[in-house]
Amino acid sequence: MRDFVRRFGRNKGAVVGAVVLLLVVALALLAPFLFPNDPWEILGPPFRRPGEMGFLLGTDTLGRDVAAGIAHGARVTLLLSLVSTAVALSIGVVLGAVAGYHGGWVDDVVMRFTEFFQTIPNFILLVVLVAIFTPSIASIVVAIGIVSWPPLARIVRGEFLTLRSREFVQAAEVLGQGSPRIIFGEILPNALSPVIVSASLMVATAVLLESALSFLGLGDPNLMSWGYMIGASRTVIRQAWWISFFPGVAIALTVLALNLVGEGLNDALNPRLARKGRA
Amino acid sequence: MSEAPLLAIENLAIALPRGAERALAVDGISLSLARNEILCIVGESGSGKSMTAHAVMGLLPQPQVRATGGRILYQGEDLLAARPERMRALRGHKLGMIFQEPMTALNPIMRIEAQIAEVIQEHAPLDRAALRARVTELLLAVGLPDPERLRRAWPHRLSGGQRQRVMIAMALALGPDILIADEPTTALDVTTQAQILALIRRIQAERQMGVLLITHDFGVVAEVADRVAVMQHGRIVEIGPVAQILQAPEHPYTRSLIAAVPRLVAAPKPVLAEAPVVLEAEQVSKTFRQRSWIPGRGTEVAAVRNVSLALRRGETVGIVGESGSGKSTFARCVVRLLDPDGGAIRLDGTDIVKLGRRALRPHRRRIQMVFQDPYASLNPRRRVGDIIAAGPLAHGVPRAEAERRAHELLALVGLDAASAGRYPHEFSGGQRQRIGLARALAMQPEVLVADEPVSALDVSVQAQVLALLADVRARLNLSMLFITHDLRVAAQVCDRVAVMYRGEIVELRPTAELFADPHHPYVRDLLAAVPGRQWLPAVAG
Amino acid sequence: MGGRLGFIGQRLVKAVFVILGIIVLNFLLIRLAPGDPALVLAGEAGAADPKFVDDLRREFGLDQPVWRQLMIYMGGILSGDLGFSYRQKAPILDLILQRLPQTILLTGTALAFAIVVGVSLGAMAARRVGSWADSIITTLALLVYAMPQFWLGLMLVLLFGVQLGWLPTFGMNTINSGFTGIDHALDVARHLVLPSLTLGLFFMAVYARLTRASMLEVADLDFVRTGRAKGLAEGRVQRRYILRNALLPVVTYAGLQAGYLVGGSILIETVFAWPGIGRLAFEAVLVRDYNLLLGIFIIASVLVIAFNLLTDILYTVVDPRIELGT
Repeated sequence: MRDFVRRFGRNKGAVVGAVVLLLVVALALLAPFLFPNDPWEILGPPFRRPGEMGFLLGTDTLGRDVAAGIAHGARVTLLLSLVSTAVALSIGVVLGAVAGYHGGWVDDVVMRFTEFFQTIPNFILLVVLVAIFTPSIASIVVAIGIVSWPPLARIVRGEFLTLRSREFVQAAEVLGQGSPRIIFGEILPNALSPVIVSASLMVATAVLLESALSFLGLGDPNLMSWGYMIGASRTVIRQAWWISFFPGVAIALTVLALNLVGEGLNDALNPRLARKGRA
Repeated sequence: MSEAPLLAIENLAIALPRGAERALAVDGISLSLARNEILCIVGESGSGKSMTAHAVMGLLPQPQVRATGGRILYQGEDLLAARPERMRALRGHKLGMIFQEPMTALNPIMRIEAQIAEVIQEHAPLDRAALRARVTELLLAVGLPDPERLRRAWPHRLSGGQRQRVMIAMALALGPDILIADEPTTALDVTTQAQILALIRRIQAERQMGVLLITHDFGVVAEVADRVAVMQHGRIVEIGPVAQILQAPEHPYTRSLIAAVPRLVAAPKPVLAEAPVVLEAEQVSKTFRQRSWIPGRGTEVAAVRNVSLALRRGETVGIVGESGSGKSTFARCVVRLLDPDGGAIRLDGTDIVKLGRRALRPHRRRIQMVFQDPYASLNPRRRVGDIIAAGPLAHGVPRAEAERRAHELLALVGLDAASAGRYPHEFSGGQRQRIGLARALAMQPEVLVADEPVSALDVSVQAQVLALLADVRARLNLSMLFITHDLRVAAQVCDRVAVMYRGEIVELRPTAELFADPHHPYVRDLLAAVPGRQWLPAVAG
Repeated sequence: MGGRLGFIGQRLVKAVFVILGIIVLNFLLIRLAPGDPALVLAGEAGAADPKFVDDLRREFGLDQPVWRQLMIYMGGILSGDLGFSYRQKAPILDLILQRLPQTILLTGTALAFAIVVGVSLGAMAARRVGSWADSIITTLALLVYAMPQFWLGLMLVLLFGVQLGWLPTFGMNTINSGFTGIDHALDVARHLVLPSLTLGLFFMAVYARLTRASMLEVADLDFVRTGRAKGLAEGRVQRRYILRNALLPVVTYAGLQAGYLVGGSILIETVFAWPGIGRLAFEAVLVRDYNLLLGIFIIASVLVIAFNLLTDILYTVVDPRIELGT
């Protein structure tokens, strides 16, 4: 554990990413205290520039506080991204593990299925799913999960496949340990680090997907989110750049932070691989 | 011809990156190589022999590893001081090198001809016709058949031995003065190894080259060396003519190394014909099928074909063969890591092939396995004590009892009790093999299947692990199936030896008889190919 | 050689199955969507017209068993009938085919830009690992990788279109310009710059990262050491040994990325009012014209599958090992 912290700390980008991420999380948690009003509420005249009349980041086309929108949007975006990653993780890990452990025809079937989902254009599928099942927290989370799991399934399957033929797993089998014990006790702990790394990168992708959906007007209509703010103000970008500028910065910073943390985790969890490229 | 030697290394020092287990990989070595001789540098892993070879070529993985002192003189010119362009001009032209892993040493997306031609065009360009003729000539010179077809081939179409020949052809393309061979036959089967060594010897004599051959194998040394340098921990402990080093080594380290080399004569073994049969394999077969979408495109490989043998109580039967002979597949069938397609494997009369997973469980205990790779055979995330206790626990032994047994076993395999609380990465390769053995013994098995248990170990460690195996076997009256590619090891360990070839046992006889008078032509070839078979290491004084 | 053809044949068979799978998926979506499948097929506008809904119900056999419905649906699509958009008053296939060339132009330009620039940058970074050039390229890639494409597009509009006024930011042609011939082509090209740059930048970052990582991995392989032992010039080792081998996974990845590229075009075409199928999809979402959306999904998938097939074929050319079969 101490080793892990030390290796993670050696990657400066990862530390910066972790700090930024913590700030975003803090913003999300503190939003109701920092901006006690509903983010949809009209608090002032429209089109106020940043700094005018006490609006730090200005007001939007209707006079809503952009800063409040960003703070409350952080809650929505983070929450939806985390939950949809959890959905993708549970599909991907289970399918990947089953395919990699069983091999043979089970592997064939599962991998064909995975390839199918990897081939079809996933963003269009996402739009179709959310549009047809009408935008709501549930449909968005499930749809992002459905389009995000295939790469993870492939990673998990690959890990299981190599670990399965590793001698220590064969030894466990010769000892007569049962399948659950072998999967959870021998294989999974050794397959975990790539899963953790890709999970952190998947949250980043989920943030982008969720924002893109809201941008297209396919977000949950009751929730303020960063993508929605950009989408709603894009037509007035010539008059009021700030309404779409700041939410975009929020998205980019969050995604950047998540990617940096992901790389740091990769360095810390797979020290041998990470050596390359630095040195 | 007595001016500067072809190659002289003076006081060479090579530094390792900070944090490595020692500061210097090579610590002030000096040696010289004359025209028309083969100098072998022999040593165990980490001795610095390979670094020395790479330093001569200017191929150290800089900047992490670099030469920090001394000189490497090629015909009087200091290569360490040479400019990069000068080194590049020498490499491939005056200095040729071949490597350990022929399977990965060729560029996978270039045809053979292009790879050979490239060296020539870089250093001394020829016109098309002359180039083509030269490549053909080289391919013939290294004993590759059908050069016309081979020139157009991709590397993946060639076997390991063929690829190593291509590597040699490339190194020879411009008639270098020096050929550096870094473990050139370690990755090859014994019969291929014999051919490649003969080829190197022949070409060296024809072209009067100086050859610097790096190896860990005293058999190889005995086969090809004119002179030998023995390295340990970055220093040369002894250097001299081959006869002197092999027959009358002076340094204690050299002596201990040579003493550790198993001899090719079988030790006299007690006759066990009366003991009861514990394990009997009858007509065991295993075929691997690669299915395909397109009918008729699937491939089948019959890895094991109708193999039968019987193992008596207290007996060790060796299964010897080259890669692809099916010996490992057979071992995995015996412990039911693989399901055989046909035949029977009877353990005290019970056919375990017929048993389903669940029914097999109680029988698992009785037949255990020791694996080849000391680094892959222990779960890196579990403590040694838990690894050893896991088997008994899975069979319902109470935890306290299982842990007590684990401690006893650690003592039995020569590790102290504190090892139980540590993780595998804190142990050396030899120690890990001991842990692997303890894990198998914890089940109190009747039969031990050992799959190349010492082939990944240095020769001195190998000797210790073999001694431990012999001791444990005698004490517990174990029966053992010993899989190996190394005939020397087989001669030392086994009561009887089965030689496998293309999935079949071609000969199965008591060890001494088989080594003295092999019947099957393949077995004869195999024995003839063992490097240094003429040389019997003297018993350590 | 037979192995290579076999490989391509195998991929073709696979592609056909994927297309069938997508049709089945579409059918399932219509069935599983909340509410009456006929209303889903009709779209928001069509649903208001009871006669149209009745016609649909008959046409798709919605009163028959599910498997019959599937057969009817599949037959229709395989014969090229994607249905009718009540809103746009036109067959869906025609609507899509009208818009398809523009999307291919946009995505093709973006992809070409992304591959050429991305691979070059990645190779440059890998060759000088740890240098300032490497740091700049890596950081740039990381930044671009993190920006939402639609937002990046808006920012480029703001910068090049509004502030600097260099480039058009809207549509594909200058309206009422009457340009013809070469002028028309130049006009389209000027309109193409910003959208294809926006779409391409993200993938450029992807390819730069991938090329860099792949080259560093290949640089550690044994045969590269062989190349150096042969005394080859460093540039030759970099190109013929490292880069060429490192590009193999990049080719594979380009195939996988095709789907993202077409998906990204929904966002980019929306931002820049580019008249392609992405913009059409956005319009379909706005008016809840689900059948049109599903049609776009099918055609986009076919496009991606075709592109995948192309990269597979390319792969057999660049990697001789493929004849062994995978």
